[in-house]
Amino acid sequence: MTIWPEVVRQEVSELHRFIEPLERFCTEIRADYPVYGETSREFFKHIGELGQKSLSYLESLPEQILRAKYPQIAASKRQKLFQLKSDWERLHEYIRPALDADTLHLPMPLISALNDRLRETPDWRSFRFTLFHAAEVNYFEVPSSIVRRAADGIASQIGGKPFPKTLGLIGIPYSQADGIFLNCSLAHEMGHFIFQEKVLALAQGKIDDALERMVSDIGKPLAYEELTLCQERIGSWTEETFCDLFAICLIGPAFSFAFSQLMTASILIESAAGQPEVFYLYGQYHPASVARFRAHQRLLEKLGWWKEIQGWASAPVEVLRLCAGAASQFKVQADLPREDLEARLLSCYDELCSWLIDFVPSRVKGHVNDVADFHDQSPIIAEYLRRAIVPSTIIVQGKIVHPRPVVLINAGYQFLLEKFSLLLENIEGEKPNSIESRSRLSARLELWLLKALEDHQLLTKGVSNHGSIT
Amino acid sequence: MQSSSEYLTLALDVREVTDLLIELVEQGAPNDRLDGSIRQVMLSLQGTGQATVKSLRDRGFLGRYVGVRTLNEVFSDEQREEFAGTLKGVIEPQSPEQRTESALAAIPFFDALERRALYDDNRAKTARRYTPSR
Repeated sequence: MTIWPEVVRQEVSELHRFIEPLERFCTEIRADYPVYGETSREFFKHIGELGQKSLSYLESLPEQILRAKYPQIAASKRQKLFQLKSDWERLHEYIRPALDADTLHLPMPLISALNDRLRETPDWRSFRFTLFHAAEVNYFEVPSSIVRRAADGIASQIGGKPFPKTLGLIGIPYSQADGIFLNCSLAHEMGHFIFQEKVLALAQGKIDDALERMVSDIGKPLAYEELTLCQERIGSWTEETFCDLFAICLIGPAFSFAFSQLMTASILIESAAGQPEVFYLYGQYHPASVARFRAHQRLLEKLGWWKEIQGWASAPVEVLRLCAGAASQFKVQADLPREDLEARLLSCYDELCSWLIDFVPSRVKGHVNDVADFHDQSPIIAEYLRRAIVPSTIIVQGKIVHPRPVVLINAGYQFLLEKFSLLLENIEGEKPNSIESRSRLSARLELWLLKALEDHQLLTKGVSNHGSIT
Repeated sequence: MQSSSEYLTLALDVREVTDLLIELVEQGAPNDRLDGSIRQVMLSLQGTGQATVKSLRDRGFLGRYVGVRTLNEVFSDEQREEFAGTLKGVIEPQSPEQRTESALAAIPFFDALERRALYDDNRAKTARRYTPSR
């Protein structure tokens, strides 16, 4: 069948019409306002160039289709339009959220602190992150690799440049621009990028070894589809666990507290064993929350944090304590074809989890002094916060200290969880039992901590306890 | 988390092979990358029954769960056999003409896989919108 030239031209021009405004959004950014970070500008520049290249490619596409010698090739080139459309639709989802995430609408001091911390590991110094706003209050579902995959897909089809290899993308709920505590989850998202770039090959080897042992224990081979399903589930659970443990190495127990808060995990306290069951379910992509908290507790113990926090009278610590003992009642909600696979898959995951608890701290550098510094400085920081003073500069044993971000964040979290009523009592007119007072002042607390993080950067000129950060 | 890009990734991987096949037909030049990709696909088409864990990584995009699932959804056993036979003609042709003919015959198979992956990607995107989870 001959394709009408007008039909082809119309199809191609529809895609042109779709891409053109996206290209314009990215290339017509003003230099003065809104202010974007360097990484955001790099992102817009790349997408803008990809847009220009796509538009030029589309100009020549109708002729390529109409002049194709074989109908199979003409049909396939027409189908390529749908592929390109899907890729641009995917980018479409993230361009507006990235444009919304200018520096006024992001917790920049926290992001800088996380970036600095990451760079303490020499292997990761070249990695940078750009952020975009997410509509969902959910850091864990924003896939950093989607934009890269879609952009590279377009580039490979039209002959464009690949997405910058060292640039990661992270989503942040749009309402959290001036927060610090929930935003500790950003460290987990950074972990996905590190896993994909630096850990994947090694982890795949470990996953395959564990699965081979599992299959050999079963005694009969699994069907092709069953095996890929197991490999994929274990792969996703391993990556998620890596990211959790990575985040703890980066910013200490604050990540686990943020995760607890996001999951409303305090409901586990006083619940019957195995309840609520959703906390014990391994999903398609995520391990059970209780299993994740169990891994958090094991790592915190290994790093020495547990000794510091175990006595806190607070819900997230109680959750960690409860989950540390959980060993059964887990279920897999992941379309497993055979019932006997469930227990085997879980034991396979446990094996990989134990490996990660040793492996992750060996890769993340710079956390050695965290617990000792926290031990010495957190009571003093709490005293500053009780008096509503930004703890940028404190006096420890007669010496001036600018507390490091990891110490500030965890001391701030401890203050929020354990000692917040001291602040309320200290301010005339505030009612300790008022939810409104608590909510308003906890927002203030987050601002003080963000200010202290910003001051740390200024006062130390990027020099941490562990040397200069470049 | 990278979950919802699985089908898009599959579609893109399939498209890469299709573009290499088109290049082969239009420019007549055999390509090492194409041969490697086709061998991976053949391995999956011929061995969909059982496999070892490590061997899955040698099967490229069809060594992943969504790849296997899509393959099983799109093609019957007979079609898979026909697909494998066609691919054999691309990498072990009796003549340059047979190579071109086989490449042309293989393109609609890959297009069918790509179409299905794009359809499933679209469906997964919609599902993600209505069922957020952590």
